[in-house]
This record gives sequence, C-alpha cells and structure tokens, in this order.
Amino acid sequence: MYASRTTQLIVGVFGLAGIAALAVLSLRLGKVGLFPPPSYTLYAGFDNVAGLKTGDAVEIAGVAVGKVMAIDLARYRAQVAMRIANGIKVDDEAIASIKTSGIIGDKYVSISLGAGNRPLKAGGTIRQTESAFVLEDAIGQLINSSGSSGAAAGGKDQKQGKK
Amino acid sequence: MRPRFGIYAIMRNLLRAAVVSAAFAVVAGAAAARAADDPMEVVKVVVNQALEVLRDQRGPLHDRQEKLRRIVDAHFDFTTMSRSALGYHWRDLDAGQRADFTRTFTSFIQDSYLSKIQDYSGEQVDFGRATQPDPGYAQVMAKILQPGKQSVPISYMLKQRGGQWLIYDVTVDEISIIANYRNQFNRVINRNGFASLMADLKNKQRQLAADLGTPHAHD
Repeated sequence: MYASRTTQLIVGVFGLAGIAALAVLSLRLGKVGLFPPPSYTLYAGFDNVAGLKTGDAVEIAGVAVGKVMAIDLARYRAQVAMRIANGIKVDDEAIASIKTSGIIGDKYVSISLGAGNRPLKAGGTIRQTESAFVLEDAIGQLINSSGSSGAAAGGKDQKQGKK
Repeated sequence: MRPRFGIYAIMRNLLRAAVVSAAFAVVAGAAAARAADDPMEVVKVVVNQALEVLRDQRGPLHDRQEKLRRIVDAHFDFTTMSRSALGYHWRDLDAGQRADFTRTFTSFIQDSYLSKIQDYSGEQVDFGRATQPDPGYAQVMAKILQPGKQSVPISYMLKQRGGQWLIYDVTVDEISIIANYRNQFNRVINRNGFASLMADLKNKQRQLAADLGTPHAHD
C-alpha cells in the first residue's frame, strides 16, 4: 500500500529543506564567504604565534575587523598576513598583540591604535608587536619562582584576552 | 571610581621589574654619547652602566636613583613613549594637555621603576640581535638571565631623533610598557575622561615621589 500524496509531498519538502540546511552549514563551517567584503592586507612579525591559525580573527577594541590569511616563517620569525576590511584605518604606531580568549580558547590578533599620523597602506607592516602568551612557559616560571610571589601568573593577567 | 593602574600589579608580580629599571638607566658618561649612532651600542651602554649602578649598593639609595635618572633622561625618548601610550586619544588633546601629560607620565614611570631598584638580585643581560623594521626605527633583542631561574626575553624599541638613537619602549616577557599603558589609559579615558586620568596619574605620581623622597612633578 502506497502513502498518500500529501505524505509524499511532506517527505519531499523535508528532504529538500535538509539538503538546503546542509548547504548552508557547509558554507558556514568552511567559512566560505559568497561575497567577501573588500579588504586590504597588512603584515606583522611575531617572535611566537603559538597556535594562531589561518582564519583567526583580527580585532580592534574587541570588534572583528579582519582575518588572519597566512602565517609564514621569515628569518626565524612568524610573519602574519591579515586581511583588514576597507575603511578601517590602522596607523603606523599601532601595536598588534596575539591574545587568547579564555584559558584554553582560540587565539586572535588584537590591534591597539596609536597616535600616528600616517595610516598604513595596503601591504604595510605593523612595526610593533607583542607575541603570544604561552601557558606552559608561565607555569614553568611560576614553579621556578614559587618562592617569590608567583610572578608569572599575576603579571600575565592582562595577556589573557578579553576579560 | 578608582581605576587601577596595572603598574602596581605588574611590579608586585613581575620579579624582573628590577631589571627593567636597568633598562631605564645609564650612567652619564662620555662613552654613552659616542655610541648614539648604533642602536645595539646604545642599548649595551645603557644596560651595562645601569647594571653597574644596580650592583654597586654602597652609596646612599637616593644618590643611586638620581644617577640612574640622569642617564635615563639622556637615552630614553619619553615624549614618544607618552604619546604612544595614550594611543589615538593623543590626537584629541591640545598642546597644553599634551605637555602636561608627557611631564606627569614621564615622572610617574621613572619614579615607578626607580622605587624598585633595591629588588635587583644579580640579574644579567645577554644581548641578541638588532633589527630595523622601518627606516629610523630599531629593535634590540636580549635576554635577562636570572640566577637559578628561567631567562626572560626583553626587547628594546628605538627611534632615531636628530641623528640619535633613543629608547622609547621596553618589552619584558612579551609585555610592552606602551601597549600595557595604552590599554589601561584607553579604558580610563573612555569611561571617565582625560581629566580623570590626569588626576589619577598625578595622585599616583605624588605618592611615588613621596616614597622616593623627591619633590613631585620632577622634570
């Protein structure tokens, strides 16, 4: 015995909705922008990027303004290429820091703007940087210096990211 | 509203604050002036002579602090440091406010580190390499060797002004003085305004100066 026409129709609609949801999901997960916003590239060199990945966020005052596009090794330092949305001006005294959201959270690049008069042009380099906070190093230092006031842990609070 | 200046937290916790004060210090001398055209030499002179003052604990504390202050004045660019520490807020200030801030911040940061010189406990500095990211700017990497502990990376940012290389920022263990203050000042200014920041900074500076036994608003 066959199912009624209505039931067949409902199954078909659900099937299509499922496929559409999968398509949206894969676009989202793959971070494929169908229409990427216009942007320009800036570079920054770090001593240690410790787990920063391509695709991680670039933030100014906590607002996402771009993404990490590539991380390369240049003369034993990490060279990070970032796409910054057009219209966001980064001056030549800005400082780029690698921060962590939460204790084991994702890394991101935070840019604090300076008082510079010249905005960096496309392809420019942010001169001053702060490298990633490495938890293992901090713990090592904490253990080594446990006699003298828990140095590493406290002094690093500010590197722990958003909060 | 009492915004906290992380300098206290940092100083209490960062045991190598003493060594940063080494960075802040140079014994005035003819040799120092000669070296002004090479960033690496400038930093070496500053650090070595500062370490000398830190090690020699015979003289009265106050004399040693003043010795350090003189050398710091000669080799640090506190104008750039102040300007950069304020970040984009600097653009909104008029000339009078800028001068006032620069004077207060300079005294504040000098006194902060000078009040810590007794924490020195035998640290040494091992110099690495120097790079020039942009014309007129240089970075010198080094390591602080602490007896019986892990070494700590330190780097000096220098800027060329009038043919002379001057230090305008020091990054200890990936925490830069400028970046640290920029974040804090930013927060205070956005929440309470520039006047409130100045009042707080002046208060702290007076306290420090009183502890040091020097008259306030040194310049």
